[in-house]
Amino acid sequence: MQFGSNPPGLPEVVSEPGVSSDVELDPGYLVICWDDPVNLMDYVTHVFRKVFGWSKAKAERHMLQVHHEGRSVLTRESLERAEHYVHQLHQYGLHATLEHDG
Amino acid sequence: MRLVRTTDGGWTWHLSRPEWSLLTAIAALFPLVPPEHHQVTRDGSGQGVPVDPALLHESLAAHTAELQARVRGWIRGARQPSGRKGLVLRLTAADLEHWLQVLNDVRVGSWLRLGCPDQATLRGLELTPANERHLFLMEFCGSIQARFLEAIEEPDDPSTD
Repeated sequence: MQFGSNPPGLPEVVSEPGVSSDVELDPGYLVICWDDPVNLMDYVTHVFRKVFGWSKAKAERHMLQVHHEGRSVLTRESLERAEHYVHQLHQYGLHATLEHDG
Repeated sequence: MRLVRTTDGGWTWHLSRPEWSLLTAIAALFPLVPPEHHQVTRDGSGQGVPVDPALLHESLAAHTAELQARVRGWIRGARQPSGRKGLVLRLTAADLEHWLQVLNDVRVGSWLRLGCPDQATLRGLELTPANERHLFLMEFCGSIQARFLEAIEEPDDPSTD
């Protein structure tokens, strides 16, 4: 019995053109929320709790950081997850962006 | 707008006729924030992150269209107020999340049309006959948002910190 290039029991690795797994799995993408003075503070706290599942205390800490410092780094994730979070925050109307850390 | 009852399935509110009319107007105005307001990167160029901003904008546009259909359908399906007493509304948790997004959009969109004034002092307010209704809309949306948020506030769970 002959096997492919991989030992028995291990899946074949197939490269898909146009997809860079290194980029997608790199946990170096920051999700940043910027101050938008019109958003209610309680609303921002609510959105952080909904999107990230945070406690009220943690959500309020980040909300206050946005309010006082103009921005808060909410999380550091892979590209795919960071993109997902930014999209969720945009759906709620918050001013959120992505940044590569490093 | 007054919270009448809270149950496992949602919240029951009493609205006056003017409040109902305003909510209907807000649903008709949504969306008010222009799509280009949301950017993937701070400078809007998309440089530095391998993300196609057009895809995110498309996805956001699809979400907005779905939200628009939901709230307008919800308005159509709600029992219209008869007489002067106003009406009773029952909202599920999902309904409230949708409404919070819609109210926030109309609030932010109104603020943009007013020239992004300072919230405390209204410095920078550029009031014209064309945008003056947005000052009222911004305040009304904020007050309804605050009531909804107060009603749905969940107790803190320290284990998730």
